[in-house]
Amino acid sequence: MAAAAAAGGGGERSSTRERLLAALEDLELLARELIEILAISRNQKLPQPGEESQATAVYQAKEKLKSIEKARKGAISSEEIIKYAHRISASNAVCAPLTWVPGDPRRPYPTDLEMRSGLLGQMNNPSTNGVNGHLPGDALAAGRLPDVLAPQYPWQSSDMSMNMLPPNHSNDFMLEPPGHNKENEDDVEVMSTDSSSSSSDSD
Amino acid sequence: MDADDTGNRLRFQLELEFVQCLANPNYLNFLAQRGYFKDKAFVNYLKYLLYWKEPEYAKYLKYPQCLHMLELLQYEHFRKELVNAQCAKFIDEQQILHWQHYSRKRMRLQQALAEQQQQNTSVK
Repeated sequence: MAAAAAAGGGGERSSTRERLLAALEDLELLARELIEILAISRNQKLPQPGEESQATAVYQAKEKLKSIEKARKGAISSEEIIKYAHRISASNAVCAPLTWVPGDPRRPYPTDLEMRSGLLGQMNNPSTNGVNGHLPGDALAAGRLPDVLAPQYPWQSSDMSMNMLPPNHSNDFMLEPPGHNKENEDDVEVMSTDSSSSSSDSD
Repeated sequence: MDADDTGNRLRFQLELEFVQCLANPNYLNFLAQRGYFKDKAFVNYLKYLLYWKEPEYAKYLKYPQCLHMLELLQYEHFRKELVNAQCAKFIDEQQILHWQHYSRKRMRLQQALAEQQQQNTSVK
């Protein structure tokens, strides 16, 4: 009886033992998983090295988008650029002619003659028949002026749009415009009033 | 409406001429000596003319240097200095030197090319 009981008890003990062992294993597994979860949740509070590079990439992408937008706004057709390049180069407005020497009357700005020949000059002097000197056309006709000083009307280039209008403005310029005058005197270098000949090479 | 348009077109041409005249330092000296730069309305007009910097207007300028002068004219200090003839002369000299910069550079390049070609032919 006892042996049977012992045997039976042993069988019960082994099954109990087995059950206990199984339970222990489960417990160990669960504990391990719990520890992993806790470790993950704790690590998420600290920035990962990967996240920093993501933030940089996002910033750079945004900057690139801004510059794309800016470029798109300032888009100009190549034809217009070529047209404009021709206008300012063919007339030697931005680059001196290769044959220029001191004494040549040509300048990188409208000369007195050109200013008087234009619309402004004509409006102010409706009858300039040689009062203050020769009319450019007269002098040219007399053969006294070289071609370069022939009356040129730079304002009347052939491709100028006659439909172009200036922006609207109040006729009264006495009104203070919005945004004050620039009085940033610190930014402006005081020009020396001493006569300083600066005919050195600009290179 | 037509009269308005004609008037506006005329104003466009006149302002186009005038803004380019500002590229001439002797003309600026002329204006300064006659007291135009002390006139508030004139100074406001110079500020108004800044619209020529916009691309749709700037493309009509033959003398784009006038825009730089126009920007400088926004400063009272610059306007005051222009009364001096020597100041205008200095600006004139600098403008001409700058104007000659590209043609000089081109001449130097051509000279260098010519010398190189000469060397090549002499080697042969």
